[in-house]
Amino acid sequence: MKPKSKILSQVIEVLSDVLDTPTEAISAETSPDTNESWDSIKHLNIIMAIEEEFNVTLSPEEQMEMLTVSLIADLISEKVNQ
Amino acid sequence: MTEQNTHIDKPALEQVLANGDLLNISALVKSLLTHSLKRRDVDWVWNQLKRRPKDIQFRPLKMLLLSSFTLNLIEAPLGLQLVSHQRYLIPEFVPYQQWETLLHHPETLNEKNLDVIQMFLHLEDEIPTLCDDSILDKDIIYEQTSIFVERLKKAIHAFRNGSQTPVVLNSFILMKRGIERFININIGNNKNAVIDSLNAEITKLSEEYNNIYLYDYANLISDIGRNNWFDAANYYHNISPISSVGIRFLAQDLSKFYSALFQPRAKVLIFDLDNTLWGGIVGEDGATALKVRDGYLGESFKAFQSTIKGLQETGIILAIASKNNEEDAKDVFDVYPDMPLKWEDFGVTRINWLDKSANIVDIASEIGVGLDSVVFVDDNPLECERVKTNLPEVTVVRLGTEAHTFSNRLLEAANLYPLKITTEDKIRTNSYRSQIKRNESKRTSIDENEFLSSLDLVLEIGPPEPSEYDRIVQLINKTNQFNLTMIRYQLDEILEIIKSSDDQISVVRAKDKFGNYGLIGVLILRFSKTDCIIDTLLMSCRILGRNIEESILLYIKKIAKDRNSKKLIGRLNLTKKNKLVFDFYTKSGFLPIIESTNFEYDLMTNQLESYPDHLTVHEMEIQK
Repeated sequence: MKPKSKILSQVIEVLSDVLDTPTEAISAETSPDTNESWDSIKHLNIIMAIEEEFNVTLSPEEQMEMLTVSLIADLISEKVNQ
Repeated sequence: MTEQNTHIDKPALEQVLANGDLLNISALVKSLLTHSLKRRDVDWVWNQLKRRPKDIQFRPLKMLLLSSFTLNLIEAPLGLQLVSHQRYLIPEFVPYQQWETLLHHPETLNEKNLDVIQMFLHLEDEIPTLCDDSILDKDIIYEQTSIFVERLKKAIHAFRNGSQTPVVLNSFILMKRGIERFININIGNNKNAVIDSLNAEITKLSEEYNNIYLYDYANLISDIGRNNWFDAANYYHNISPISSVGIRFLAQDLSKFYSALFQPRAKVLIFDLDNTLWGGIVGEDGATALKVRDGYLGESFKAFQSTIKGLQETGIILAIASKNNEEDAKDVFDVYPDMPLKWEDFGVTRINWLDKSANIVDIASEIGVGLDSVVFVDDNPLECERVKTNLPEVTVVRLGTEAHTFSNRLLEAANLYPLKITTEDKIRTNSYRSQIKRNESKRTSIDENEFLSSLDLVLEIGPPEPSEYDRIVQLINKTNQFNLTMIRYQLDEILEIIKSSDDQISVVRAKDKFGNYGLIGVLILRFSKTDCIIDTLLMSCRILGRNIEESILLYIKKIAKDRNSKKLIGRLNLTKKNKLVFDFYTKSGFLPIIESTNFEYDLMTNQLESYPDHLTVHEMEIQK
């Protein structure tokens, strides 16, 4: 089992790299609405980085659900802890 | 799954990326790229680089990417690859078939000052019926395909009429055979035969127009494999069909392509011999024991030699710098007459026990090229290090010990890929070789004039043919030694000059009994009311030492007189590289103009001399 808190912080780090935003400025609630560089192109970028980081494949449905940092962390924790 | 969050030492890198000098950054990024960086790290490094102020950035490479799908994800990986080649990518992405409209408006694209327009079209987007599983009437397939080809041709033609920005087209991959998998394969009109003909059409397009290039995208996909390249789920979902693996390879390959497009190509390859061109050490093992014919090792070295031979055929000059006895080395070529490389393929050889750096300098000066166009290839790490330290301008390729990897190592490490092979490239090797022969006879010849006369040198001076425009741009941009003003022009500027009635461009072609050198000189004259200004006067270094200069100057004087100029104004811009020409004008009877770097020659009072005896000059007609 990988603890969800650890996954959350790892997701935040990935997003920080991709979105060029300091980790302190990213929280569980961060979403495309609150971070202005998180546009549809960056969303593809996030998917690619997350898939590689956690060694998972994200289906189109899952990709559409990834609307906040905490939703991404939930999804990943479900997938890696299956 | 790795627990480690990231492999790279961000705080240390951040320092260099933010404040380091460009050469350090380029080397750092190059070394980062040899490890397979995670995508998030690629993004992070690229974000750091983008923060640097514009005035301390690499030379920009402005790219417009016209694609039929979303390819924005290539920005960061391509950005890093280009930084390792010392260019800073400024991309603009225009997806979803907007290419056609844009190409029809060259004037709006010109405003962007682009370095390159890169196209990536997938047939799935452009001719969907060709790519799905439905089995169509072949007439319909052909019709749809030819409509697409016509649209593409028209767009390129329209663009070319209004712009000279290089356009790079992509080749099309054969489609995945679905339910037709086992049928139709023997029938000439299956869908893939249509794609073959499509590729042939765009190849023609790239041959027809200056500055239209074809990037063999399909070949890269077959290297990686179609199943690894495409990401089917993403394709339907967000029209970003290339997998992360594909994106990475595409960035790498495309940056190699851009090096070939934008960076000067290496001119001379200097090789070690033992364990480089053949397996074993001739001085110790004897020629007959070497591995260069059969078996795994022999085949590997043979394959490497074929690559080298191929490079020579595209205009690269080969040389040897080896610590050996020359007779031993020659012996190998006699014992293995069927080796791809022959002794005569090497323009210059330095086989002795001196330091290799000294030999390399010697070879470069004998051929007449700068050290920055030289590539040195050796298996010995120590020799490589030495040359690297002594001669930092030389590209050093360390081959290692696995002969089957040598070809790739060489091609990856140096800028050797040819883009379009001009006729001059094909004959260049021969002419260098004959130059070396000439140098040998020059050494023994006592009377310089007699020697020059014995060459049967023939010059042709006159306006360029359209097929020579590429070569003119090539010469103008790479000639350093005999170049009076060092002004660089791009193709669009050359075309302007050709159109203008106040300017005149002429080219010089040369041949002698040793070979045909093709186009070896360019001169650009600009006329004012009373004067003729020599804006550009340059000659390829492979033709130097034949007293051609004075004939070209005489030709200029004649032209200027014909146009009633009273004075010739010679410009001189001396740099580190063209010291050769420092006294060109004073030697030729020009007088320095006070408080300028220009020289003048009075056409009213001076009589025209005749062409020297040692050569024949044909003046070609000028239409303008």
